[in-house]
This record gives sequence, structure tokens and C-alpha cells, in this order.
Amino acid sequence: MKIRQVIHGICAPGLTCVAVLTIAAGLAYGSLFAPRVLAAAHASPPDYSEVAPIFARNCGSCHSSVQHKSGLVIDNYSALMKGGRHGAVVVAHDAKDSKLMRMLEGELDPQMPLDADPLAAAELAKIRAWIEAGAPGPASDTSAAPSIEPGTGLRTGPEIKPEVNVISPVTSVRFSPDGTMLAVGGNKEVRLIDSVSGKVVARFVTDAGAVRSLAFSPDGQLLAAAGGAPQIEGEIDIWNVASRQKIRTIRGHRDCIYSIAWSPDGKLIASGSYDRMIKLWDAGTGKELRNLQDHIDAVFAVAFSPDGRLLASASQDRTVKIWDVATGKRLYTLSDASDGLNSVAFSRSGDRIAAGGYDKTIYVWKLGEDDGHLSQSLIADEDSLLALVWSPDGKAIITSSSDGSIRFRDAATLEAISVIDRQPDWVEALDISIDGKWLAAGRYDGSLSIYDTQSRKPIRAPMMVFESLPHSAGDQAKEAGGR
Amino acid sequence: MEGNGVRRSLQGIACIGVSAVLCMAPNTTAGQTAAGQKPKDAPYHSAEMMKSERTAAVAKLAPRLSSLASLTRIEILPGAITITGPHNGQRLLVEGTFADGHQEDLNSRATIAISDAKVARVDQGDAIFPLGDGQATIIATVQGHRASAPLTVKGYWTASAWSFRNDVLPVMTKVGCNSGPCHGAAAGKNGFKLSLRGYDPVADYYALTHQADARRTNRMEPGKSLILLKPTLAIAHGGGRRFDVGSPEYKVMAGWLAQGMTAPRETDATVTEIQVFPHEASLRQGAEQQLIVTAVYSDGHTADVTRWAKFDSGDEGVAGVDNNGYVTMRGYGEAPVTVWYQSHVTFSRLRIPFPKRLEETVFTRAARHNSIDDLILKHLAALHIPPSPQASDDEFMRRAYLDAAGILPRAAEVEAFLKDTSPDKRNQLIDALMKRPEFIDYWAYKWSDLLLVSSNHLSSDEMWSYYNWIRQSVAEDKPWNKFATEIVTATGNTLENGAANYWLIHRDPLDTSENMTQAFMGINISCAHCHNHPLAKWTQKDYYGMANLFARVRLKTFAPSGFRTAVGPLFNNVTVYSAPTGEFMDDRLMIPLPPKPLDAVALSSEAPGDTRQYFAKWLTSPDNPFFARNIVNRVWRNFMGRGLVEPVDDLRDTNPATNEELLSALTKDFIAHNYDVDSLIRTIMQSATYQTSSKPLKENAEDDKYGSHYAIKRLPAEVLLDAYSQVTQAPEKFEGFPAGMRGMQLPDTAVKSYFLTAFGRPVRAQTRESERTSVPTITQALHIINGETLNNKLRAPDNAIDMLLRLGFTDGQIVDYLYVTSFSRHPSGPESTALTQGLADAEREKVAGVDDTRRAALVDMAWALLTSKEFMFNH
Repeated sequence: MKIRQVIHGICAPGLTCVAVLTIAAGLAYGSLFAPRVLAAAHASPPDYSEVAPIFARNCGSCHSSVQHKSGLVIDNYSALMKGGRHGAVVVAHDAKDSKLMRMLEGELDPQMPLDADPLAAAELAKIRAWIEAGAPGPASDTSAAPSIEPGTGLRTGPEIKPEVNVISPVTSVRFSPDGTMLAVGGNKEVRLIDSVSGKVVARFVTDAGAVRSLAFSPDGQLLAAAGGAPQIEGEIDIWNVASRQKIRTIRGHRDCIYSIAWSPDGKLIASGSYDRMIKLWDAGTGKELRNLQDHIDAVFAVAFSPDGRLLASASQDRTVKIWDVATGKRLYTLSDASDGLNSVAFSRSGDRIAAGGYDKTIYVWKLGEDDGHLSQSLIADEDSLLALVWSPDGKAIITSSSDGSIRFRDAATLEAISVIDRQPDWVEALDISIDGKWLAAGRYDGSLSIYDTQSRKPIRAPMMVFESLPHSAGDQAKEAGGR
Repeated sequence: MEGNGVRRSLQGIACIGVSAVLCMAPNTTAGQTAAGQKPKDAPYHSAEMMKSERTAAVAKLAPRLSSLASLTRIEILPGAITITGPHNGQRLLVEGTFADGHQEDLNSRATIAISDAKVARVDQGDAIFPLGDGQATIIATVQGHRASAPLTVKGYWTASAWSFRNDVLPVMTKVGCNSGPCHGAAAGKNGFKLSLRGYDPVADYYALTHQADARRTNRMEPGKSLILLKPTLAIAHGGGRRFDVGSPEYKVMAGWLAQGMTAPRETDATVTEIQVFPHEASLRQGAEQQLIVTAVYSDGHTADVTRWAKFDSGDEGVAGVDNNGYVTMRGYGEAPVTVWYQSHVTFSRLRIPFPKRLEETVFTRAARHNSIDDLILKHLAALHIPPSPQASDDEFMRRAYLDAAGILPRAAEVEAFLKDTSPDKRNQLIDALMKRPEFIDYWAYKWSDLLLVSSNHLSSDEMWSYYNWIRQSVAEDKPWNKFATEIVTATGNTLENGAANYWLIHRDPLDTSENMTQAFMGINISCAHCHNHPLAKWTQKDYYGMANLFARVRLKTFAPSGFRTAVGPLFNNVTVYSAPTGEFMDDRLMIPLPPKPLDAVALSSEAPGDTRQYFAKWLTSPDNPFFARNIVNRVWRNFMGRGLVEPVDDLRDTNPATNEELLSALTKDFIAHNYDVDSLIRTIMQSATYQTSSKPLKENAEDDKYGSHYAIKRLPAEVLLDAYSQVTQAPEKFEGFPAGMRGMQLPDTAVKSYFLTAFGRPVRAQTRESERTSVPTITQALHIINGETLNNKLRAPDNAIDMLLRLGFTDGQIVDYLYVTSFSRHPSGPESTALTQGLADAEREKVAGVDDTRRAALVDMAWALLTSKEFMFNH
């Protein structure tokens, strides 16, 4: 207690505290557990491929090309050798003088990784040996590429089998441009169902984990599904709807993709990811055209303006940013929200934009050339908003909320016109058909409903889009139960 | 292990004050290590981790083990064990008691067996794991001593699912996921926010399962869930490694994921109580003691939750405790070790009695005047601390005058008292003292501190009205519950009803609610403004619900422009009243909550009338555990220099009293005496405990909190200044007040006085005991040496020295007189001789510019007396 009080007494958040705590740790435990130095010598010095994963795992969350504290990027070789704002961190052949080594070993404050456990002795030995060997670079020149190739370096834990029947949540829905079909995304799979009958007409399989966003090309011929593994990579798969053939897989981003949008001219796909980036892809070739970097937190939603000139992005950083698609320039930032935003939609005319999120509030901005201004806002629901769409006729904004409701609102006043309440679970997937007739709502519990937007009544009973995954029964429960 | 876990992010601490201590991450990681430990297939409540820690600790510290020859009996703790379900295990303690009365953890030297091997097995020496339903007996043996405990295993074959509330959240809390610097921060961490220490299971469940499109958990492929990959560092995690694959923590999380992530339900069993074993023990220096924590649930089942509990020592100098509840005893005294689990708190009171064994007669023959002494002596006997002898009459007299009335006895009073031979003269003195106007001044001043009477918040008329109301209340010995009720429910014109001025100072419902609980309950609920209180049971909803009780208070002012500011004086002539309806919309929850005193039933939001009445009833109810306890503790501190609970304005279950039995008894007595503060004062002053000498014995010199001797304290600023005025007979003149008015009579602390400010007078900006300080500073020293206050009094014409000179006193008589007025005693022979001689020498000296060398010498002597420790301290 006393030590804690001392710490608290001098503790403006930051390094001082860490230092003091380190001392406390040393006193309390240091002498008991001298680090074991790895005795086994390397037959040959480790090459970059052996140390890169150590860096990625331990340093990546602060020193990556996405986030680079002190200007230091450790996740690619050339950047690592260049060092950060405070100079070089690796001196080839001299581990003792390398700042990287000294900070990892705690000789130089603050010890790295900051606020986390120091590296294991074996890892330190490996890095030391690598530096002593002259810090050789990767065999082939992949210095611009991430050290862990997307899709190949999945770092995962032991496989755990569900012990109960599980069914995939509906993570995304999108009507085809002609409204006849609805694409429904779930775990590693997209199903195309007939809007009217509810029959599954096609199944598309993907490695992208949960399919968090879907987009049809404007002509309806292609379907893109985006997802990826959290904190590992993003993935977009594109199928030819008619032939059911997967025509392309695009990998990029350092985290899963939450939202994609197809530009009205069909040429571009925009993706927003938890890695804070927005990327513009050539829909025809899958080539990355631009990386739009300005959000300081996860990007949850992207949308093109009806004329395709602007792109809007909504982020956990509480802002909506408006981008010029042609130049990739950020035009301005709309920062009225008081918490993260997870959805964004343009009005039909394209002169206004709506967004919503965790502060329970719907915001509508009027867009100008150089700036936008808030024209409406309303504390809409008792709990966070989950999704928001603007009706094609521009008159209504429809929201789903974690309070279990879907609300139809007058776009001019934001007041609720009618409510479909008592949703059995969160509706995170929401879309309206282009003719404005149908509203599709997909839920966390795996169920899907399609509502008639006039009567607000479901056109069919809720359906389970995906089958439940059979589990291996028996007394496995007891096994995982820890015995 | 490794100590690595101690390094933790401390960034993002948003809390202030003591709360931040608890907002911090736990200071040890669970499981893990880089030192090559094999992850074992450990059971849920594994003993292995504690074992390995213990082995290491034993090797290093080599605790003193007592010879088993003097062992008198052994005991198994907990005394009866029920294990429910297949997951749970139970660790045992074999606690020995030795001939000299001390206890010892004998697990390492005990053999434990189970009568029926089909029911359970013993693992690693002292952990019991179930094997099938049934009953058996646990038998422990230590060198011929034997103890047994009944064991029941039930529900072994019942399928049991991991509960989010009772399994998953405790793991996350223990490993620190939801601590203040991590995801429990008000803004979360890296987009992932949990409720601080898991106070909101439902929100946490959604954050883990649903939020950000089910990012953090994967019910189809549980092994790919971020909540497993990140804390095991399969994927980079800013918070570092929290547990290992295969650890008990991992198994809980993985098991819950595999079972489909059951949501918390209203019907979940909840923890109703936690118990710690041993609950209390006398140990020896260097001893090591494992604590065992049992949770009792609302459905009646119990479980060993030692691994998931948090531990904290109340006195690191006496007992240190690690993250696993493993205690190392260090120095003499008593330390409450706090145990937390799922918002429940309990203590293990561990002590090392002082080494010298004392004759029983030390305690049986010690002075006892009332039940305070019985409880103090009982506690002292357990700790082997002897009480100091009683203070002499002169010491007692000076002490009593200063503590109860803030004045020194006059020379004539001293002479009369010392000569008085009646056996109950001390009680007579106390009674007489309590009838004096200075007694009323003193306590009116004290409550004015508490209630923030100040012209910084009020106009002069309002301030006087408020002060006079307080003084009148003290004068008529208004019962404390009535006093509080009158403030809490005050209405009317603030110049007519002084109590109503409280509502001019506290105009915001949140401020009011925080101040009410601070002043009248001694608790600080401000933590709950942003999140549930981490140290007490108060939730954010309690906080805002309570604030809503004060939402209807309105001020009607007749100021010309209707001018009203958020702070500072209003115009005179304000009327306080309660609107019939009205609700408070807070800035965070954004919905008005039904008005509700912290832990009472809520009123309906539509209930008409003055909601403060309801609050007052709850506040002053004998069932409110804080109301009487608060004032008793504050009054105790006034006399004993230290509250039974410190700090006095931080009462909570997690802050135990040094002598709980005494504080409870005094509180009960206070309630039984109809909240009579005077009666409480009398009881304390009459006790032999209050009347012990301040001179410590060799054997009790280390004690500063158990009441073995009177704790010396510097005179409060106003008392010191008044004492200077009194002894020098040179009254102080405060600006705007008539000459001769004592510092203790001031209604206001905004009165200009360099002396009072330098000596720690509070500004009365916030209800906080620490606003008044007695910390010594250079300013004080310089002011006493060279400053104007004391020196001017000594120089003042017609002061005490001039009077003594005019009366024709000899130097010897003057020394005697000044001793009596300053110290309430006559000088000793050597003191008198030395001072008289010194005066004679000084008076013969010719000093340039000094005409009257005798007066100059007398002034110097008086200065020396008045700046001595004996003068400046109450002892």
C-alpha cells in the first residue's frame, strides 16, 4: 500500500511511474528470478526472418507503419535500420551500442516494450546475435512489404471446438442493384438469396473470416465481400455473380476491413479498416491505388457520394472525413460527435451526409465545397446506434440500435416515424433496396428479416441463413471445463 | 513470477485522489513466465502457482519455524468444506496454535488425507479436488496432533457451464483487463472499453461478444477470438501478456467461448459474502501465512476464489501480501489485510504482538474509567503493548481545556484545581468546562469548518446567520440527527433560518450530494461521478439517483436584476424552497434517475413534494451505518489526534478502524444517547485512555494508533493565536471585528490573518479534513522568530509583563506566574533557579538603545516559553 501511495503521489501519467514501478519490481522480485540466459549458441547467426516475427509481435502495436511512436517503424527492415526521430536504433555488429538492444534490456529508460513484459531471454539472445552478425536484411528485397506476409503469417492459438450448436451471425447484408437478390455475409461465407422467396440461390466461400461488408458493382454483375482476421489482415473477394466464380482476392490492410463501397462508375472499391486506413482499389485489377491516412482510430464505414466525386469515412475517432476521390486529398473533417461513429450515408442528392454511433446520436451535415456544417442532430436512442441507411427517395433515415429497435425517421427532423422494436438481438447488418421497398436486417443471433418499408411488417418469418455447426458431443464440456 | 507484471501501463489514469490507487492495474501477472515453466494442465482453482511462489519465498527468506514441541493444537481451515460442481477445488490451511498463543501456517509440515478416495483427492499436499458426489472427512496430522473437517462434494456429475458473471469477469478483473489504466479507463483502450473492475457485466458481455461487429470473440472458431490471442501474446497486445495458453485463466475463457458465450442473466447466482481464513491470527515475525478466500453465493453454494481475489495490506510495515494472498509478516503491530472479490470486501486481521510478554497485571491494574478503556486495554493486551500511566493533574487540565474549549486555564483555575482533593475532580472539571462559552465557540468553529461557513460563499449577513445558527445549535446541545436534518431540509429566508445558507453554498445537485455524504457520512462518492466506486459499493446510478434528491431545491432572490452566479455571494434576502416537482438531468447518463438515497429504495420520479425529507430520514436513520460513525470518529479525532478510521472523511468498508470493536461500541452508545454530541465528548474525556500520559514507555513508543498513550499535537492555528493573546494579555484585533474577539470566535475563515493562514487555517472551500494542516513550515518558524504577531504582543504596552512589573513581582514570581499561565504548572526547582539566574544576568547587561533592561529580559524569557514545544503542543 505504501509503495502504491508513493507511486500515486508522484504519478503524473507517464514514464516516471513506470520507472518507479520497475524499481519496486526489482526490489520485490528481481533477486529471486535472475533471467535465464539462453545458453545454446546459434550454429549460424539468425537472419532477419527469425527476428522479424519477434519485432512484429512485441513492437508492432506501437512501431508499425500504421502507428509510429517516436517516428520509429520496426516492422520493415529498411525503416528499422533508418531509426526514429531520436536517431538510429540498430548499430550493425554492435549490440551493446544499439539503442534497440539497450532499451529492450532495460539499460536505457524506458524499457521496451513499454508497459508490457520484457522480452524472453531467448528472444533477446536472438536479436543480439542478429545485430552482432551485422543485422543482415531479408534475403530478397521485401523491405517495403510487411515482415509478415498477409495471409501466410496467421498467428493463432490452439484450435478450440464449439461444444454447443453454433450458428454464424449475420454480419452484413446488401441488396443487388435490381433488388431481386440479397447478399448475406456470415462466417467465411456469403449467400445470395432471392429477395422474394428467401431461397438461397448461391453460396460463396471465402477465407476472409467474418464477412463484415458487401458491395455489388453498379451493374450488379460482380459482388465483393470484405473481412479478414482482426489485427492480422484485411481481405476482399470478388465473384462474378452469374458464373459464381471467384475472380479475385485482394489482401491488404493490417486488420480486418469493416466497410467497402463500390464507386458509382464501377471503377473503384473503397475499403475502411480497423487499422485506421482507407484504401482505394482498382476494381478491375485489384491494385491498390491510394492509401488515405488521416483517421486516428478504426474506420468503420465508407460511402461514395452519388456522383462518385466524394468519399466519406466514419471512424471510432469520432469524426467523419470527406475525401476528394480523384486526388485522394482530405477535404475536411466533421467532428461534432462525442463518441465513435460506425455508420455513414449520403442523401440521394449528395448534399447532405448522416452518421451515427456510440453516442446514441444521429448527425446530419450539409456539405459545402470547403467545409460542412451540422444541420441536424438528435439523441436518437437509449443505446448506441449500430447501423444507419438513408432511403433512396431521401425522405427517411433508418437506424438500428443496440436498444433492440429499428426506427424509421423523417430525414428532415430526425424524429421517429415508426419503430420496429423487440429485435431478438443486435442488428448490425442493415440495407435498403434501391427501389426503397424492402429493408433487410441481419442479426448477431444469425437470423435475418426482410421488412416491407411501407407497412413496416416482415414479409416473411425471420430465417436462419446459415446452418448450425454441429458440435462433437459427449463429455467434452467437462474437458474444456478444465479437468 | 519474474516480477515482470509489475510494469504496467499507468497512462490514462483519469482518477484523482486515493481512488487512483485502486484504479491501477494489479501489480502481478497471473500465470506465465519466460523462464521456461511448462504450462501444466492445471485445474480451475490451482494450487500450483501459489506453491511455486511459496517455494521461492521460503528459499529466500527462510521463515522462522517454531519448534513443534510447543504446538498445542491444530485446526483445518475452512472448518467445513462443500465443493459444488466438477470445476471447483478447495485449498486448505492447517493452522497451528502454540503454547505462547501464537499461530502458524503449518501446511508445509502437515499431512492431509481424505477418508474416502472416491469423493476427493489431495493434490500438491493441501488442495482438495472432487472425484464424485459424497461425504468424507479430511484429516490433517502434524506430529501427533490431529484435526478433521467434514467434506461434502455435490453436483459433480451435473453439467456445469462457465458463467460470465462468476467465472469470466473475475478472471478479467484479476488479470487486470478492466483496470483503470487498461480497458477499464473511462475512454477504454484502443477502442475496447470495459466497465471498471467489471461493475457492469451486461455492458461488458456486449463489448466482448457483439461490439465492433463481434470483433473480439468468434463463436464459430473460439480459438481465433482476440480475447484469447491477445492476452496470451499470440498477437501483439499493448497490455502485454496477461495469461498463458493452458493456464486456469485460459481455461475459463476458452471454456466459456466453447460453450457458446453464455450471457449474464438476472438469475445468475451472485456473491453474497466472502470469507477469509484465517480471519484473525497472532503470528511471529518472519512468519508466512497463506490466506484462503471463500465466496458464498446467493444459491447457497460456496467456492474457493483465492486465485481470483485481490489482496492489499493495510500496513506494509507489519504484513506484506502478494497477489496470491500469501502473507509475509514483518514488523510488530496489527495489519488488516483487505481481500476483494466481486465488489465484496473482508479483512484478515494479522498481528505480530510486541515481543515482550507482559504480566497480565499490566492490564488488569491499568486505570479504567469506562468501557472505552476496557476495549482499548483488550486490544493493547493482544498486541502486548502496555498503556502509559495516567497524566498528572496539571497535564490533564491543560489538555482538557485546549481540546474541548481551545483555551488555556487561567492561573487561578490552575491553582484551585491542583489544590482540589475531591476524587472526581477531573469529571467536575470536564462538566464545568463544557458549560463555558468558549466550549461553544470551539465546537461552533469546528462545525463551521465542516459546513464551510465563509464570506467567500456568502454575504456577511448570510454568513452570520449561518454561523449563529450553528453556534446556537451547539449551545443547546442539539442532537446531531436533528442538527443534520435541519440543514438537509432547510427552507425559508436565509437570514431567518441560518441552516438554509447551506443551500446557497451548494447549488448544484451533484455538489450537494457529494458534500452531504462527505460532511455527514464521512464518505467520498465522487468516484461514482464517472464510474462505479472502485473501493465502495456505490454505483454510478446510486450517485446520480441521489443527486436527483436535490433537484427540486430552488432559490428565490429579490436582487434587482435577478442576478445569480454559479459561485460567490448572492444578494441578501434569498429564500430557499423546494419546488413540488423537478428532475435533474446529468451530464453523463443523460436520463434522470428516480431520486434515491445511495442504498435505499428509490422514490418515484413523480412523487410530489420535497424529496430532501426522504433523504434526511435515510441519512439520520440508526440503520445508516455511516451517519453516527462519522461524527463519533470525528469527535474521537479531536481528542485523540487520530481518528479510529483515518482519514476521517474516508469511511468505507475497505478502510477498517484500528479498533473496530471500540468504534462500533461508541457509535451504538451515541445512538442510544439520542445522538448527543456533548455526552460523547464527556465519555471520551472521562476515559482513562484520554487521560494517559503523553510520555511513551519504552514498550509503547512505537504505537501511534492503538491508544497506549496520548498523542501530542500542535495547537490548531486559532487556538495557538488565542493562547498567545491570553498569556500575553495582548488581544488580537481582526479587521472588521471588535478588539478582543478571539480567533476561535470568528464566524469566518476569510478574515485576514497572516498568522492563522501560516499555521494551517482551512479556507473552507471544500469539506475535507485535510484542508486544515498542522504541517510545520519554515514560514511558521520565521514568523514566530521574527514575525510581528508574537513579538508585537510581547512589546505591547500594558501587556502581562507590564502588569507583573506594576504589581512589583520578583523575577522568581514572574517566572512562576508565566509557567502557570503557559503550561498550567509550576516550574521545577532547577527550571526556576536557572531562569531566575538568567534573568538577573540579563538585567545587568547594558544594551545600547534599551532603557529598561529588566523588561527586555523578561520579554525574552516569555518569548522563549511561548515558542517552546511544551507551549505549542498539546500533550
